[in-house]
Amino acid sequence: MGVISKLAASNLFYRKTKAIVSILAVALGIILVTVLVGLADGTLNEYANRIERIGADIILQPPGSSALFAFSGGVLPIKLKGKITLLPGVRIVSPVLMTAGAKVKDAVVLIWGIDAATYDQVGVGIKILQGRMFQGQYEVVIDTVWASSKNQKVGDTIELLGKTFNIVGMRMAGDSGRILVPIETLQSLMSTEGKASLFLISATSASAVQPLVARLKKEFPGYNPIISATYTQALIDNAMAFKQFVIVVTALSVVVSFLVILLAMYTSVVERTKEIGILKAIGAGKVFIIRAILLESILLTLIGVGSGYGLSYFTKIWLNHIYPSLTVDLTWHRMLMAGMWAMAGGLIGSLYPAIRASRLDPVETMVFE
Amino acid sequence: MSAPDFILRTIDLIKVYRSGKVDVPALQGVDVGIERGEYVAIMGPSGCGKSTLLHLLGGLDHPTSGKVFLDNIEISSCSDGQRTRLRRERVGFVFQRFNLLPTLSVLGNLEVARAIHSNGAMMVPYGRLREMLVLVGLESKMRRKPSELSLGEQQRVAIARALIHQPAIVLADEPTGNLDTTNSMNILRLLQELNRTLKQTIVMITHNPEAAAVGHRIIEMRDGKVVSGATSRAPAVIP
Ligand SMILES: Nc1ncnc2c1ncn2[C@@H]1O[C@H](COP(=O)(O)OP(=O)(O)OP(=O)(O)O)[C@@H](O)[C@H]1O
Ligand SMILES: [Mg+2]
Repeated sequence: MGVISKLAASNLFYRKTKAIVSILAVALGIILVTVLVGLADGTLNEYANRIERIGADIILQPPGSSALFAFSGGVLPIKLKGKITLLPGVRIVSPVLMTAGAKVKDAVVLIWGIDAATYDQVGVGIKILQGRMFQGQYEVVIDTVWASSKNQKVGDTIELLGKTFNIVGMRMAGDSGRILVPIETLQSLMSTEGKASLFLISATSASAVQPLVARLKKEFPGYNPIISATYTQALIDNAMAFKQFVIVVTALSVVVSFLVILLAMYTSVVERTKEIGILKAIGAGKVFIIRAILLESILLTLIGVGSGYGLSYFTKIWLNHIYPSLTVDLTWHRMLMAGMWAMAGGLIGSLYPAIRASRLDPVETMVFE
Repeated sequence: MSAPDFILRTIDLIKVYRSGKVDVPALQGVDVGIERGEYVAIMGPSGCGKSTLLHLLGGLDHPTSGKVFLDNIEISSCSDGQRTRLRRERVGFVFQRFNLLPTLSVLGNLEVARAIHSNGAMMVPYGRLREMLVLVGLESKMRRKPSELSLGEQQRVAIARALIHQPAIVLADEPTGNLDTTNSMNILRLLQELNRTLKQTIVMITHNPEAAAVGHRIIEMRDGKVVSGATSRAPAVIP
């Protein structure tokens, strides 16, 4: 095995440019999966964490709101709030309207419209570090990350959805939106008067949470009450769009490594027809030739995957540097999956060239000199 | 009279290539016998079927009809896999050019050959690689790539490679065809020495009468037939 590895490695590095291009292409497939999926993953986690950290007991979402990106906009009628408040075990209900895709100062930012009075009681509340909570219609509270990354402070103004707002307070980053505005203001700016994206509900006691979830399901068929602590998992489990996205991106990367390795190994076999003929002439069997070609392609893909890991990490750092509000989650689990799929793609891609090489007729390879 | 000890023998060997719709008769009934320890040269005009015969003798190809016996095994009726195994165990090939893998060093080339030959029952000891390099006078250049060697040196490496598994027979197809006179003489002297000291059986194709004269015997071919020197014991033509 040692000698065949040596042969495979020497063949690989004999044509450096081709090897490098193939390695980079495989790496690109890996980056595609890890960074794009990591970005979606990170966005989803970040979003879910923001909601979990509010500290409410239950999140009530409208029917059919399983997909991550269906959240923006308001579809829940605010008037349901009164009906929910009357259910046994409910302490307080707070509506939230959010827009996930607003572009402000070259950054896509989460703007949340909240009802300050109920919001403060539904969970851990808002910790204002500087200034005060908003009172007027066009006042906002920003968080510390926004303040430092966009270099804004209390007293500045900010352009949101075509209106100028005064920054009146700064709070600790972590939960809810980066930018908080009065829910009525956001409703009118988004033309969704009387609507919310979700309700935050807190129960009278911990033991009241489970029965309340059951009651909500009964009372509002089709609606989706989720216990806050399990929100992240529930979101991931329900995000069909997210799963499909992962499958599409992974499939794309498999196809990339399949094609790249197929092409690289196929051209290698064509270029080295005579060498393969010589090997066969001196007694190399089919298995020997197939092993040599497969080993070379495995080596090529492995280096590609390794480079892909490294480059993914650099891409993450680079993305965080230029877009501080983006979250890219590079989980080792997903990296491993991406690597294994690329290896599988590469291996399948090298099968045809390997079999073709093993079937070369040594006499024919030498006749046409 | 004792029966000749044929290491290689052919009976009415016929090879017809199909080239498109045309049949090319390359060999038209060849009967030759090579005895153990012989050094035989094959000569004849271009296209007369020398390489075809050599390939059939070494089990690289199968005849259209007729038989080839190598070490008393009928290789002409063997499957591809069996012929590959026979080549691996009993035959050493040297070709005119493109003998070596350009990506590996001299030693690397021999190591690959050793890996091929050390298959199943046979095990080539690693020390043989150096022994063979010493034999062909290239142990000092074993780390070099083929491109860093002269053509003559490359052929010597090919000969070393053909010998590492102690084959029953060495088959060489114009091993000096690409070389200048000095290098040719070196290779021919090397082959002659191998034949003398190791009793190595050698069959060599050549266009050069001086090269052919180095051997014990010359098989003359013309138009797919042997015209003289079929065996060492005239007129011992096999029935
Ligand atoms: N693979 C093949 N397909 C078709 N025809 C072939 C093939 N190999 C050889 N031939 C033909 O068979 C005949 C004998 O060829 P061969 O290579 O044995 O000749 P040769 O004596 O070795 O010639 P040279 O001295 O030029 O090497 C030639 O007419 C050649 O064109
Ligand atoms: Mg020839």
